[in-house]
Amino acid sequence: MSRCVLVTGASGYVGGLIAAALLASEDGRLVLPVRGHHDRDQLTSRIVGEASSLRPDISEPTLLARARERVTWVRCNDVASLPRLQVRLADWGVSEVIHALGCLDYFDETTLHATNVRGTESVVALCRANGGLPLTYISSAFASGYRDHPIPETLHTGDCDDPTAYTASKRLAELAVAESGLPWLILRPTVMIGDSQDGHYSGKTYGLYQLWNGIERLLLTKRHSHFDIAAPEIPVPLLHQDHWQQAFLAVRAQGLRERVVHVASRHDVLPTKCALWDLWMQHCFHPDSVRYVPDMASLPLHTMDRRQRALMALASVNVEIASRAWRFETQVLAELRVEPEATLESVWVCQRRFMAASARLQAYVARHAPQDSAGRGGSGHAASRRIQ
Amino acid sequence: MSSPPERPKGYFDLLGFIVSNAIAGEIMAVDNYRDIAALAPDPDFAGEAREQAEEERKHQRMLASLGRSLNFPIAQRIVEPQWRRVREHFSVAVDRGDLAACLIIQDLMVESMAIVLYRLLSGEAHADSQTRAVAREILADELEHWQIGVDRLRGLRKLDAESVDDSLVFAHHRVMPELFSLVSTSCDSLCDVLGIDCERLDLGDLATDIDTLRAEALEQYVDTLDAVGFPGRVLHPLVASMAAYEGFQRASPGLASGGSSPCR
Repeated sequence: MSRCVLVTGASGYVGGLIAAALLASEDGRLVLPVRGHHDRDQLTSRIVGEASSLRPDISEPTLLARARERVTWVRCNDVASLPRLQVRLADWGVSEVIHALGCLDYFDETTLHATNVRGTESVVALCRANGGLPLTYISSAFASGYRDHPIPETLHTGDCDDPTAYTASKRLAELAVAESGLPWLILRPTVMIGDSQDGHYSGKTYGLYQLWNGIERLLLTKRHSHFDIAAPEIPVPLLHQDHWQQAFLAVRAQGLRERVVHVASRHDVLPTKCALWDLWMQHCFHPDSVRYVPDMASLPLHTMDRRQRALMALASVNVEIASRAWRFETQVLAELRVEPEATLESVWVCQRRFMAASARLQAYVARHAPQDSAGRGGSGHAASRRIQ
Repeated sequence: MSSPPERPKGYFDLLGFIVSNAIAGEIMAVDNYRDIAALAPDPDFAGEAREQAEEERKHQRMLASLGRSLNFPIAQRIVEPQWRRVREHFSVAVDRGDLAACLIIQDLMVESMAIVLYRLLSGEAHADSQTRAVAREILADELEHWQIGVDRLRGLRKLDAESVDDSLVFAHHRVMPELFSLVSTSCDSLCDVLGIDCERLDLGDLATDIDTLRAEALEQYVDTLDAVGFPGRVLHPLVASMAAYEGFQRASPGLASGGSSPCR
């Protein structure tokens, strides 16, 4: 019987990318538990789309046929009811579990604990009840909380200074996996963004997309001649989704166990938050002046533009997280000679796609594009830029 | 002199939807201000709160009268469950004797949303002249209530800032998701009660859209918290939590590779 992998969270972003990577690159079967309300044809179509993006050498009809043959969608209404699948796991021949299901809502502590901590405990129980299935857990590079030094590829114990309840919940889940007695592997991706080649993205509006979404919602009602922005000159640890898939497959091919692996892009070419904002200035807003400050506390909150102020408040938690100098050890990827890169240019590919998908942004850009002396619109930008 | 443009049925259905929600907010406000009066630390404070309750009742009558005059359907009771839940949270604050939380819920949160709503209805480009006139009169009162609330809470923060900040956190996570979910043209059962077609409600009839209204509501809320003087360390995480509200999520089909919608 060929290998069969159960992947949790496959209706979501990260789990869907994993299912797509496995479909594109391996021969085994996939069991994908999802909640009942999901349209399975739509989910299949999304996974096939992502698989096709990863393996353009295989036609979509071939991948679709492969998906129909190898993927079993299983109804499972919540993570707590996963152990009920126990009796069927042997029937399907499941030989390992990849647990990618998670909650990213920073502020919903109840759901974070129920999904990330208790949910992971349910998955551990499921693996144990099936003879000790190997378990790969998809955690977060930020599970360490704030650290003053490069973050090691080891389990985090003891007191941690957490940016949000999310990071604490991921850390607790990691411990549940590592102390389970099962063969385990923990992968810790950084902040995921769209595909490095064409910018496509099917996740929720988290991370950079949350900021972009806020820009789209709040800043398009007028021309902004001046911007006050909290954006530190510190690299933002971004990771393209295709690089995540490639790293995942490379690590998996090694059959590593009892290891923690950071999946992070090369630090030296990461764009800073300032540089990311500059893209918006160059390609959308064309202000006369921009003042960057390192943190929220340095913003002129009571005198700045009210919409910019609301946006900064909406993005404040991510601004705070980004204001810390995150640095992740990537020993395992280095050994495998896997070096993901997220540069200003590759992030622009994603932003351009985001902007192209928004009629409001397109209309704004058309209305406010600067004219050159011949009256032609352009994307040039000569704002005075001050960094405090 | 040109005559005012004739309005389509969809405009009056939408007006009925908005005004009915406004009436629900006013009904709740009457009860809230009465409770605030009972918690008031001195007779002047209590008298002012009772006066505010009377003004909210007056608004209720003005809106009902507007509906009759323009012949659009209205509900003169609370229909949408969000209003009931806001009132329940308010009652919890009353039971705790938490005057600051009561003021935050009514004077800051509810009044902020009311201000955005009545600004929309009082705009030249939006509503008919009769609706505009009513909305402007109510807006003036609501702005006054808002300012009274800001001043009261500034005063309370001078006495015990930490306790007022805790009250804000308590109120925010309970009330703001409910209020923001009301910035929508979908409903629980209000359209059925009014006998209008929920699917056909389109804010285009008021020359605006839901996204714009949400942005204005967010801006007004942040302005309000700034005006009271809540520090960034308290205010910012609360506002950031609003990014997860349903209305702030974006679904851009052009972003994905396939035809799927984003989902967790």
